[in-house]
Amino acid sequence: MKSKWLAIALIMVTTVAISFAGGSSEPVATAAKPQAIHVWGWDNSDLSKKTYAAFQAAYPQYYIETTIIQRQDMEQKLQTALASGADVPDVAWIESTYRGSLFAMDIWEDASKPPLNIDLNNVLPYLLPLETTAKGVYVGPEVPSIGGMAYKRALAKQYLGTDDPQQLKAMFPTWEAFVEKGKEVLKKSGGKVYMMSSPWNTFIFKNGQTNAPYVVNDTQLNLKAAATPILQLIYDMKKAGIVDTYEANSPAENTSYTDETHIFYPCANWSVTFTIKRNDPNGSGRWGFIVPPDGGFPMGGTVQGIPKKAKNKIGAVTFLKYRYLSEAGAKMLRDWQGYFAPLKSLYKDDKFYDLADPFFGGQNLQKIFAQDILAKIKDPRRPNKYDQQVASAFNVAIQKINTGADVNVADLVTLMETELMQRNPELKR
Amino acid sequence: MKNKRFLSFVPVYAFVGIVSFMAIFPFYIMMTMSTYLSEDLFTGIKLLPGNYLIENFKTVMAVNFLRFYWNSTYVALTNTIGAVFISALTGYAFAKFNFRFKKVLFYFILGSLMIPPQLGLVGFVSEMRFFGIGNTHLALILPGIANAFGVFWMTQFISAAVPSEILESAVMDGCSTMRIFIQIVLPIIRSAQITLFLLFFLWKWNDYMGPLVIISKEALYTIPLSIALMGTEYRTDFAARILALAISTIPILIIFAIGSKHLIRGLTAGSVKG
Amino acid sequence: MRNFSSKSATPYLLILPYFLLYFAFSLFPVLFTFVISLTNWDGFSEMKFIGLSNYVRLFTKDPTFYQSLYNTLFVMVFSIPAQIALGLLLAVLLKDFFLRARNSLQLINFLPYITTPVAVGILFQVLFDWKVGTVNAALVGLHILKEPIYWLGHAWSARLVTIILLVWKLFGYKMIMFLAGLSTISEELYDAAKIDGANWWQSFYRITLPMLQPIMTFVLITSIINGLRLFDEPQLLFMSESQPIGGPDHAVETVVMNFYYAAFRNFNFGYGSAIAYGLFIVIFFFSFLSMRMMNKGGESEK
Repeated sequence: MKSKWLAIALIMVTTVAISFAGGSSEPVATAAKPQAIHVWGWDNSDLSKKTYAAFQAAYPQYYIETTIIQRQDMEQKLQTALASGADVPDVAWIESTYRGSLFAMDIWEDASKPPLNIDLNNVLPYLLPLETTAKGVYVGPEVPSIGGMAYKRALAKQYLGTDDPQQLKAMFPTWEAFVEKGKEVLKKSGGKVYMMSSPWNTFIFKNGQTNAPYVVNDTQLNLKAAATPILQLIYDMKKAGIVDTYEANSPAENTSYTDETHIFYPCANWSVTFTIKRNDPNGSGRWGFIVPPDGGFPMGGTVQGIPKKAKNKIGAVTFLKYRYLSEAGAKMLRDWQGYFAPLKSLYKDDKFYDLADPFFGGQNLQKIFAQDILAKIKDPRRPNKYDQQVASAFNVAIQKINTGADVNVADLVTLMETELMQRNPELKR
Repeated sequence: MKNKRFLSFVPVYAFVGIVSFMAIFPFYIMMTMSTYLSEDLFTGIKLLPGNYLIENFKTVMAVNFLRFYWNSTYVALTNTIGAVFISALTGYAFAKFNFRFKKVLFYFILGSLMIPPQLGLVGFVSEMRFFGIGNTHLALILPGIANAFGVFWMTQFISAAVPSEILESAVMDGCSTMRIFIQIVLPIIRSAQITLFLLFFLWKWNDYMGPLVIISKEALYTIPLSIALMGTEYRTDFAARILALAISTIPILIIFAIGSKHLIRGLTAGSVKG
Repeated sequence: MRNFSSKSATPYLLILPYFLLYFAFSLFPVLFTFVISLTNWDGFSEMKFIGLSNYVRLFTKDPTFYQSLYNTLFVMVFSIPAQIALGLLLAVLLKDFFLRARNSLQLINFLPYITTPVAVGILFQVLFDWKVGTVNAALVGLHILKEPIYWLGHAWSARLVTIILLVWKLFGYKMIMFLAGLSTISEELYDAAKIDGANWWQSFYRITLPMLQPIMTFVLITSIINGLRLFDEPQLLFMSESQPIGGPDHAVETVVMNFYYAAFRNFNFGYGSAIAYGLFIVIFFFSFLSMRMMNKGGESEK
């Protein structure tokens, strides 16, 4: 059986050899060798790669090295890297869900100060509070992500009498009007057609349209003021029977985009490509878009942050300025990915974002987003380190409403408060 | 064979049949899912295969999947071989020797089983950096080799399956400890070795948390990490991911199929006499 | 069975590689975490030593710890006996009745264990979906239910689905353990019993079960320990945006999930580590109990 020993020894030696070989492939830096910019994100699309290539052509002294991580792992990975002294990236993607907690970590370089020097005057004003930590550090740019309301034209015509966006918008000056109209639709369809597919979609609207903070003065819960209107709307919709029971963005809900029983959906600029067109690929011309009651609102968004401990901060900010705050970059974002850029000057020219979309019956979505929503957007809610937990508490409450349980909004708010206080003893009612 | 008059064949066959069907059904569904376009997947459970297999396969291959396959393979293989051997060695000591501190040490090993894997995560990553093997495969291979579960299993197995008489006679014949271990004990516990090999390999193969925090270089990704590459910013390509995961299950199936033959041989031929 | 009594260093040499490797790669991180549990570290700022206050909070002021413990035990109490019974039954049946098909059947029933957890999570989410799930479709179609059930939206059903998932996943694993254990039982014992006129059930009860005792001990103890460490399955099942941590009303939030979210999502490393050590104490207590009980019956353990 000596051969077994030999085999083991051989394998171990080979492993060590391979590992060391694998680890030592860093090129020796010379003056001409491009510097790496390490980006941690979750987009592996060809279009992104094209953008990186364009950047590298414009700035040959840099090259971009991506590490693809799933969005739900980013937080933990960053945190473990920092805690253990491992390398952090030069650019990290910070998604809206995790924004509050990641900002609160206070590990970000202020990109508006020297030596990075992003000029905040170039950035769309509404974005600034979304990209700044509680301590006033400006973290980095993002693609403005705003939402409106998409609808199925055929159903709107059938149950609301029109599919024209102006007329529909006039029909819903407020959410109350929306709910009332919804009751009519329900009656007309014999209880079959819903205005919305999911109470979580209602949450997306109302949460984005309100800006009362959930926690004030660091530890004071403000749920009675901030959460009540949101839960109330969901509750009212449920009571009126105009909202179905899907869980938003679930595989099941995705199937509802092609059915005949749900009319309205939240629709961000990125939803156009990634949600509506994906879930209803043959639906060209079937969709319409309006600005919802209470206006457009921030929906999602991924901030590009540069950690303080990053090795190539100058490279990182050069890349970010190119991609997000230059006209060349904005063109790529717009033409290749249908995204907007945060560069303020672009919006003075109402021809920059101007594209009719046949999918939406020829509506000029880019223009609507740029001029009707972005230009008029209200002051958004600031990110807060308890955001994730508040979201989880909302989920508990919304689930209860969703099951049709006999609850009232005040009790649900109390439930949410109790939850948060249990897990964070420093919080007070 | 045992007396079978008590149980007739039909209920037994029916029972095993039903259980086996329920065991395999989700797996079959998973395989089917990998043959569809991602967005079509959830319009109801698909029972028949779709027509998107080639496309999904192209997506999977486009991210250089073979490289990750190789990474997973050799990390799991080296780790497993080491772990099985060490487990057998250590289990042998606990099963057939008496020594001071044996009880304490054994309880220590048992106690270490109770530690949730996520517990040492941060300390582990720090330590790997300290040793200079952070972000390398060595950091994935070395830690699992000392496997408390393996030791515990081997201890129970060896104490049940290896008769002391054989060992005693070997000692009286003048065999060294290592010779006894390798030439007598190991063959007897072959089915345990195989069982452990299969399990350790499987666990290492599917290990997600460890590689997630240790590895930040895409080239070093193992399969579970690599599925993050299949998709874009707002679109998770479920079908391609499931295909990749299904493909990655194949080696497990193969080694398990081969391994279970050995297990059978152990059952029918390897029973210890007397 | 007599063991070698040792006057030599042999057994120590045999166990040395294990302990060296273990101390080097597993012990340090765990001790490091214990140190962290005595601080309020968030992972990147300064570490401030706060003594045992995390543990005080954990055991006296945190209802979520006890709740998560309850959730974990609840799921275990129902899933573990089912897994063991099913695994044992299948192992014995396969051994006795399926000589030729045994290989394939073994493999088939082990499939759930090797099916990738991520895929399983998605699968079960779709299977048990309220509106488009197969389970509801089947149950309503067969008139067993009048209305579809919101499986993943109620606390009781969330627990049920989790238990089903765990039994499905783990019975094959138990089956393998028992099959390996059965291989240590000499055929001659059964032949002798047959000659004496014993039927199948008597052989099972008087030969198989007692001879399997060491393996059964092993399986039971590891099941309990692993059960207390439950994390992956509930995490994957309830990972969607609309789910609270651990599902509706946090019904399936296990202790390890509680730890994970405290440490890695709320950046409360210090407190999270205390949760983990709190769990460790509980596991220790349970293992000690179960080993004591095992030792009382049957042959003595080392």
